[in-house]
Amino acid sequence: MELALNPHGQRTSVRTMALELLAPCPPFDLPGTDDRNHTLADVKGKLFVLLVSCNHCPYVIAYEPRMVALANEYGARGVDFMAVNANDATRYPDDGLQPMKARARERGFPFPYVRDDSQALVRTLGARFTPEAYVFDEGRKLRYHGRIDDNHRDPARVTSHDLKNALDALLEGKDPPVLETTAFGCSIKWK
Amino acid sequence: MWHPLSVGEDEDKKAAALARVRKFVQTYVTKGKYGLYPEDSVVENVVQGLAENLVAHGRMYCPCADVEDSKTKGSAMVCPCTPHHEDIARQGYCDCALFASRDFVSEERLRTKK
Repeated sequence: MELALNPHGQRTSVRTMALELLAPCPPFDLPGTDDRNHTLADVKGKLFVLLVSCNHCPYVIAYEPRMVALANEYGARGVDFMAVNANDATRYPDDGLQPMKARARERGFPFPYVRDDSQALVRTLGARFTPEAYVFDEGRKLRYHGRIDDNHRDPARVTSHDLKNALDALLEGKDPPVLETTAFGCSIKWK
Repeated sequence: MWHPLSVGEDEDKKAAALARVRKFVQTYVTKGKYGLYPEDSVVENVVQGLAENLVAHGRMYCPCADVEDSKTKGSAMVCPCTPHHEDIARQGYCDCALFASRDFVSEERLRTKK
């Protein structure tokens, strides 16, 4: 991340530099809604999908059923999923660990939902929006980054299943047809 | 609860709402102190969300906030929302990534040119 200062020395922006394709997954050790910590070493799947998410964003809420469906479908094929919420819980109390626990329970998340209170992981990822997807291969190198698909409003009107396409290609040993897309959603609530 | 338009439903309403949102956004950046978030696809998504909310709820509620909650806050979460000045001062862009400070826009343009 880079903080820009104006001539008066005041911070004028928060920028995050996106993790580059083939860059390694940043290590993490974060508390989950299941009352245990999750680390990169815990990830055993052939692929690892890291979803930058949160509780309050309407885009995320629209995508949650799709996130769950993808995790169920691809979990059976050896893909590990994890969602991480890094939003400033002081300004957005709904994004704290306790409300996250309630959300995970209500939605029946089949993946760990972890809290990145320091925001270190999402800053290293260069994430900007929720939801934003990162797919790492077996060597935990970044192979796809961006949106889940191209229509958060209506799953029936999706024309490009970007995350799903990336997973299908990688599971077949191929490169994803699209390596990067622009994620749409709410901006991450930086501290 | 948010109700997306179905195909073929009220397309005229949607078109009129989109035109109204685009006009508002253009006027706001032309006459105001902020620019547009420097990524067209991100801006377009927010514009579409504002238009959807205008059709469904009668006002340009921020698409990055829960509409039912926003309705309890009067006009605070109607674009341009009350917190957008504070958000832009803090991070360079509003929470929906529609409006951004001129400095942020310049910095991003420089960065993406490199």
